[in-house]
Amino acid sequence: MSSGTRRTNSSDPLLRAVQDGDPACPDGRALASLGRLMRQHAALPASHDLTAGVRARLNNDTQRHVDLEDAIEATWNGAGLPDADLTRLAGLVRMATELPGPVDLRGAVRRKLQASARTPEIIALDATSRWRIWSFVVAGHVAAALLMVAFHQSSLQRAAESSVVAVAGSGASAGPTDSLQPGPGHGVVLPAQWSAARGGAADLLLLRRFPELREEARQQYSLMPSREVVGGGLAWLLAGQAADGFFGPRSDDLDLDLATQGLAMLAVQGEGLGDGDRLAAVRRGAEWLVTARSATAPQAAMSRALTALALTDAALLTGDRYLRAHAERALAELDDGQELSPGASGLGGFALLATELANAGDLTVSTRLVERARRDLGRPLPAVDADAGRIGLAIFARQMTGLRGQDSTRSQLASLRLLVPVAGGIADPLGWFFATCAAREAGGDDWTAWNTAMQVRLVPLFQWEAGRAHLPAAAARHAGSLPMVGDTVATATALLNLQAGYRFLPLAR
Amino acid sequence: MPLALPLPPMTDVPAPATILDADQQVMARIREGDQEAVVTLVERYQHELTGFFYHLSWDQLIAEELAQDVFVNVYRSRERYQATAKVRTYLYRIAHNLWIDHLRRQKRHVSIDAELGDESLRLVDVLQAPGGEARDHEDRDELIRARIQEALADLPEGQREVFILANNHGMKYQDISVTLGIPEGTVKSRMHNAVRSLRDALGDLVEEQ
Repeated sequence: MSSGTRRTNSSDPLLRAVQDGDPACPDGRALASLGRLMRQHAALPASHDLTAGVRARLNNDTQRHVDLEDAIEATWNGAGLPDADLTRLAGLVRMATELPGPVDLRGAVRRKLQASARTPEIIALDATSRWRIWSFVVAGHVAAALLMVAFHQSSLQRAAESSVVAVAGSGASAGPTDSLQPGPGHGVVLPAQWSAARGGAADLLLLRRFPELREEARQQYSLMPSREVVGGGLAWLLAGQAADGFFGPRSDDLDLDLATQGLAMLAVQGEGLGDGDRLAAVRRGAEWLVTARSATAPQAAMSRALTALALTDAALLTGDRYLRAHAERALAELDDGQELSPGASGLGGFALLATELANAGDLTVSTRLVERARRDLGRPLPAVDADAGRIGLAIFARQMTGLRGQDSTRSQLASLRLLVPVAGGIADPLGWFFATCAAREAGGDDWTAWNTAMQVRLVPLFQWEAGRAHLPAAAARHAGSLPMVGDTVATATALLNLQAGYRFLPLAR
Repeated sequence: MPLALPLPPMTDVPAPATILDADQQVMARIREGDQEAVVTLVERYQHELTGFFYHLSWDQLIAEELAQDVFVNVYRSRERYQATAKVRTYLYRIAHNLWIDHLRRQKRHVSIDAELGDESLRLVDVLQAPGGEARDHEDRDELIRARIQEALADLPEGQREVFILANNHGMKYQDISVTLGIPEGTVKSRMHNAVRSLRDALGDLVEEQ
């Protein structure tokens, strides 16, 4: 553009003068000369056509793109000579992505195939058949829901009518059978004999899944006297859950906190998943466990075992694959070569319960760990002066491994009868846990004696406030000395004992 | 554990119907309900299928569980398998479907936790755990491994799967196309983009070698 044709609309007189030679400006002429001079010397030395350059670069890019595509094809699709850089990249990635550990899926796949053979193969059905089945399923669920509502009404009425339920009473509920059988509404009728309840049912957590079944189990297995404190204790635990998922105040000792959380989770999960709020509480609680143990692996054997057990229980109850993966990881970490020991009050037995439950629930748990837990925790005989928990673990382990009929098991059951909780004695819900499990599995008089005494001892110790109940730490052995978490441990362990009638279907073989 | 949806018949890759290779002989036994034949298949393919899921999830436990599901699904849908399909491609097709299924469930997890307002959600962290751990490790090899895993994890899902199948499982574009149910051209473009991204992210490591 020539300077002669330049006309600016700028309001700045100086700029106008430089660009156009404004005569009104005092040094207008000089400024115009300056402008002209600058323009002349700032001009391109020659006209420049960029077309060729742009075209060349575009071609170059296209060529590089084509070259890269060819190189990729050659390296990964076998079309020509592989590119050296890409081959190095491929090798690097392969090196960095090797599996961290060996893989042997044969056992797990076998188990799944066996389980799969027991389930109907709807996959092989045509669309019409599937539609028909789903219609029946939906209709069945609607009918079942209606029956459950009716059953719930009648059972509440029945509970209200019987203000006192004999603890020692057997067959309190109408129509006990010899095995777990299909029934109206809730799906099963509980058997009179606990050991017969397992039958062919694979779902060990069945009784927890429906409130009606828990109610039936409480009546059937003489747990009605503790029904209210269990409900109050559950409400207390849930009310105390912090936003991060931990139940109650923390001690800041990670091992202790993990064990406490494990116990609280088991107690909450003992009452099933209930409504959406309960499920949310379980998920938050489990997430706390997952996060805490991922950050720092628990060191104490009991913390590790309780974490594995609580996650296993949560995974089976929710059917959640994420929890299942973490439960399996926690179980795998139990198998670190460290010695497993029954310990005081048989508390080492939580590891045995975790492995047995995982094994029965088809979670992946190494056979070596299952065997080791049975050998190290189940087989050792308790000392002559062992407490109820230690003897209980010995019995429970024998029951689970098919040795319930052995003389040694019967002899230990007789020993346990001498150690039933007594009025005025120290309540030791943590130490009693395996004794309660053993008595529950044994059933009959052993269960009646233990269960009656345990409830009589525990129930009055609960303190009520605003519809919630908790067992104060000071009232329970072990819990009183725990910093901050004592109340949670005492309440949770008491609940674990009082839920024994419906926690699992019989684990004993 | 929920299993994957019914699978479409696999007829894309023709093979002589009369000559059955070793894998197809195993599949023939599986079709007759022989569960031990599934175990034979497990022995042959467990490592690479677990590897496939591991490369997508960075979690060996999840990888093993999903790999188990592949074999169980093979058995459960045995009636649908046609001997014209390559067994290996068929297995990877099931694996791909299971992975998609897994991702859907994972998204549900995230949304449930988001509703709960749970800030401690660690699902993503957990899936990337090996990388996270490695970053803290002082050993140089571990740092390199972490960088490579991170670069892979940063790829869009589709690109990552294509790259892993091609690079770590030696699949050709045609087989990847059948496995993922996408056109071969898409495989090619995903591969191209994946390689460009990886080369940009890991260029210095490639040059070092």
